[in-house]
Amino acid sequence: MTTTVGKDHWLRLFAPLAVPAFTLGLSFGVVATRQGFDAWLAALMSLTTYAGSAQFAAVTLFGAGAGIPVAVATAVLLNFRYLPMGIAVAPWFRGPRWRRLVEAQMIVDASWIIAQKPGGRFDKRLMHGIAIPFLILWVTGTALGAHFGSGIGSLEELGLDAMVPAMFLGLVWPRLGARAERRVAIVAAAIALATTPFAPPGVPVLLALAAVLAGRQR
Amino acid sequence: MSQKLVLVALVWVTTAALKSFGPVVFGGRELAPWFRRVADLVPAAVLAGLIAIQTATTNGALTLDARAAGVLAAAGVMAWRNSLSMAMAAAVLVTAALRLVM
Repeated sequence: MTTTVGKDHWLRLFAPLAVPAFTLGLSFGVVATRQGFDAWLAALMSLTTYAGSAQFAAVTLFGAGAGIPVAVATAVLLNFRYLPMGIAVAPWFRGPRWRRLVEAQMIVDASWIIAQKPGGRFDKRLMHGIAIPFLILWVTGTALGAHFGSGIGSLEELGLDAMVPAMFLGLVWPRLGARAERRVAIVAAAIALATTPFAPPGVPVLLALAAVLAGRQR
Repeated sequence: MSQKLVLVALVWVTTAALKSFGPVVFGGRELAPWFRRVADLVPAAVLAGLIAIQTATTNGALTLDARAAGVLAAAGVMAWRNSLSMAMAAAVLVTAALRLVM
């Protein structure tokens, strides 16, 4: 068995993500222009930050007059899950430090979950194969959304806000066949919901990581 | 303009640091067996947490609205057909339809 991803296999994995990648980018572009960001700056943010929820939060907070420290701090909290996510797959990143630094930028929720293999293994090539085309559509969508912003209107009313959790659900679904993972998922969801009213945004997901303890015993 | 550029730069640098910390510091090291077992369970925990928050909370408050029905429909489609595209389409359609009538 090799880690090389066949073309058919790749297409089957990536194709469903093309629509959310583009429409979420579109939606971010619309939101960013509404908060006074130029199209090029919105596209630059999608290209460099490449983390949807933090971008939406930072831009919206800044537009509401929250100031840079609050906007950045919120983005950091929302992105803090990338720290444990990165550590969990760290052994699979090899080569010089600068290379690991660059390659790690392609860790996004969708690419990270798809590249997970049974037994705690990780297919870094597959992560790139998903993350790079996703990034291209995400940036293109942002630029178009920012350019045509006012004409597009609110995508949320069209049910787009349900698309992201549905995407994550579909991506994690195959893992839920195992009893230990099902138990972890249920406990994690419960922790996240129970702590949301009290904890700042981003923190409930970190607390939900404690759910891995629920899957320890086999 | 310069303020926004500073914001974009700071969010970029912090995100890049969070993403790359693990791979840069621990990259290429051998896995302890316990680490492998824990790492295998992290995806289910992270994704379930994200799904719960994006489905049933709004601005830090628990809310039950059309989204929940949409995500439930997506779960139904996954159980029935195991199709990610169809699951997302179902979520969007159900949510949008409910918003139209509510």
